[in-house]
Amino acid sequence: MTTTEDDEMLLDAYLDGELDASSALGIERRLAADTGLKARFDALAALRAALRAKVPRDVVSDALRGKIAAMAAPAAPVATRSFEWRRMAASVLVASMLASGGTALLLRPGATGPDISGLVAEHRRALLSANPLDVESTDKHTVKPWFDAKLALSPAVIDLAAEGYPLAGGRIEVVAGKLVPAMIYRRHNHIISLVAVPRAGARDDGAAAANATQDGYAVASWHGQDFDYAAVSDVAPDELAAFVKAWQAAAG
Amino acid sequence: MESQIADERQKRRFAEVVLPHLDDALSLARWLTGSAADAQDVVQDASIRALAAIDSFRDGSPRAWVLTIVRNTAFSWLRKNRPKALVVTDDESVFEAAQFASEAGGPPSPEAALIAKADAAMLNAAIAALPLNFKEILVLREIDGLSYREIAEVVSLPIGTVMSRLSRARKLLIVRLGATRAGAQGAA
Repeated sequence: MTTTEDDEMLLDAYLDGELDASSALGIERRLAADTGLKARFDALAALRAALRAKVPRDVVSDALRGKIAAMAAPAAPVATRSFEWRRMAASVLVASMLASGGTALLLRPGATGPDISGLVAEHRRALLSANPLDVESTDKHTVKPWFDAKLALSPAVIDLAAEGYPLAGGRIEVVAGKLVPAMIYRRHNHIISLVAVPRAGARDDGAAAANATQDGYAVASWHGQDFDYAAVSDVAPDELAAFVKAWQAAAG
Repeated sequence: MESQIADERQKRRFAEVVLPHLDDALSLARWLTGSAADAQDVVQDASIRALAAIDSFRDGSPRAWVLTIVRNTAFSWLRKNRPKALVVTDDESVFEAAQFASEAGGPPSPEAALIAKADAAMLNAAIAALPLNFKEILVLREIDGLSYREIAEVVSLPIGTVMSRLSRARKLLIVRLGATRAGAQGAA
């Protein structure tokens, strides 16, 4: 008996458990009587078994899963923006505040929500991943539109190659459950992540750059025109401070 | 920015609907892009799109919904980065080629034994060589384990077309794996 294309589709559907009981019964009877059909079915079943045993499903890395899960993380609680708090923060110089809309972002170890630990963890995670860049380009005219397309955000992307910090590209990070742009610069063999968090409120001129370290990573944060910035790197803190100075000078 | 920030309810929904299916998403993206690194980018982009569109998921299969977005994202990526991969393959010509190869290869009886001996590299190469519109349906069925109905939803095709392409994709694999093996034996 010849095997038609419809027969083959029926065999596939039978293999996939997609046939109703009476059609399945019909196929089973024909398989018992038709050796050609049976050989085709055996080949299909062997293919299925081989694919299951030898072609594994991909598994998402912890880094990528963490990044995507962070999109669904609850936003950080709104911090009190009191003058008292700010004075205290300035005096101990371990904290700065990046306000984004109603959500304040505390750059302070142990604070709830995205703090230095969170930024450092993102930076470290990016370094561990296969490619620390979501978009790789030394051209700010590539990186800036990329952010615009991905996030509808246009942070200032500044090329500091002349100052010794060539732009490497950009990445999307998750801060307080929001997707924010991060610009990646190189300094010799080191990477500097510069995160830009859009700010809805008025510019906070009061705060100069604040510096901190965590787990050997230097962190600097400051307020810009429309964004609040945090730079994270494994370069020395004074070298990161020099980067921030160069960046701020170029940003005007 | 404010308009695209998900509220807490949307984030919870995203966590329920999307996060359980990331491995399936990555598998589909890797087979469509042909690259593990590019697949990660596609999954991340697709997740961003899914979060933005989470309110459009009502009911039905969350996995099919997620994979629909992953597929669309992967095709956008291909259009931009690998336009040649998107050359549409005519179903009939592929089938006729497979039919011809199958008949030229002699009786199909030893196929099952040959396929059972195929190693991972041969299987991967055989899947990678499938035309895109056959490959995606095979991967959705065999790697991601979707039902015919779910596959039809993901690729926006009638179930009959899904069945026909799946059957032809498997046939192409069987022919290729049988031929590879026979060639190897003939050379030995």
